[in-house]
Amino acid sequence: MGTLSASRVEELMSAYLDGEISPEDAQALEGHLREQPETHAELEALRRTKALVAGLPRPVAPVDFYEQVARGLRRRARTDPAAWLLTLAIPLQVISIVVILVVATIYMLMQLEQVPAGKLQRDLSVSPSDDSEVTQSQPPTP
Amino acid sequence: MATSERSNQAEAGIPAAELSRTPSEVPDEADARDRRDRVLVGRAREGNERAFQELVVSYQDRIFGLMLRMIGNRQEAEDLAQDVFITLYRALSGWRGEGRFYTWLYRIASNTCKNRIKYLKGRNFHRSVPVDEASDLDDPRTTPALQSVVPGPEAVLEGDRLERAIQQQLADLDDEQRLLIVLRDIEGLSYQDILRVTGLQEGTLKSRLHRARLALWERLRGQVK
Repeated sequence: MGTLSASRVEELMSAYLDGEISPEDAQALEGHLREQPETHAELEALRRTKALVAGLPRPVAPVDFYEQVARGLRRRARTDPAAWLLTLAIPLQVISIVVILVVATIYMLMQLEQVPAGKLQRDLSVSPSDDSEVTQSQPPTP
Repeated sequence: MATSERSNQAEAGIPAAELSRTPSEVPDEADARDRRDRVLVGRAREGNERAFQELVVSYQDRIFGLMLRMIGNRQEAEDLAQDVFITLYRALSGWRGEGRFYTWLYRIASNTCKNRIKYLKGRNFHRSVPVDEASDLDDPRTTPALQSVVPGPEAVLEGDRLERAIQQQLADLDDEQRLLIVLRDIEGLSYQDILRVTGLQEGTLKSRLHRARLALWERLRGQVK
């Protein structure tokens, strides 16, 4: 069995105490502990530290903790900008569509108003500079 | 959909005292707890407030305890613990169900705590626990531990002193070291759970936890008989 490196011992020792180690690694570490008795002191220090911390009393949340959470949720729902934006998003989309339609309609109406009333007739009328047009427009000779 | 047996279990509501045991249960118990949690999450997502309340009640002591050991200030810990559950509520719909529910909850708690510590450090918040706030021994709701195994008034005083010393030295550790010790030695999370909570690699977790414990021991050795 090879000697364990310092970094490997560091990895294995706490895990060994916590039972979070494979049987092979446990065996390797135990071999190391037998060969290096001075490491027993380190293992013992870890064990005591773990026990001391685990012995601390368990804090208890306030009796009205859930009420405080619920209150916090309601408060956030009222003031959350994201919630407001979401509330406004749908009407804004509808308003946008309406505005676009209105603007398009107004534009089309304005374009139609700019077209003179007799423009269609003028297009078919005789143009003095164009003989073909005069020929076409004159009634046929009996 | 939960089986009728699990539904009855969830409907009946497991007593808070029963639920307050650490997650370091045998795998069967951890599995049962997780199944129950998932049922409650499903119902909470549908707007069932009672289900969300049960989730909060199940874990409020542990999350509050985690915050208190990390921050060292009771009021701050209460506020942070509330933030954790508010964040949880808003994130419920996004949980994909990977891993156990409580590891996800602890991850939210851990991140909330880290962000708060970073903010407080920027404001020169002194993390050391004042002596009169160091313990919950004056709080009758606290589960006695160190003093309960030490008989007699002098021994009780000794238990108080020791507890304050441990909390003080814990508070003075590096934030990451403190978190690992709290998650493992106080909250009782398995290494697998801690890996999910912290995102560390396994070898890194083991080394850092080892160094954290040794660092704490170096600070405590002179005060421990």
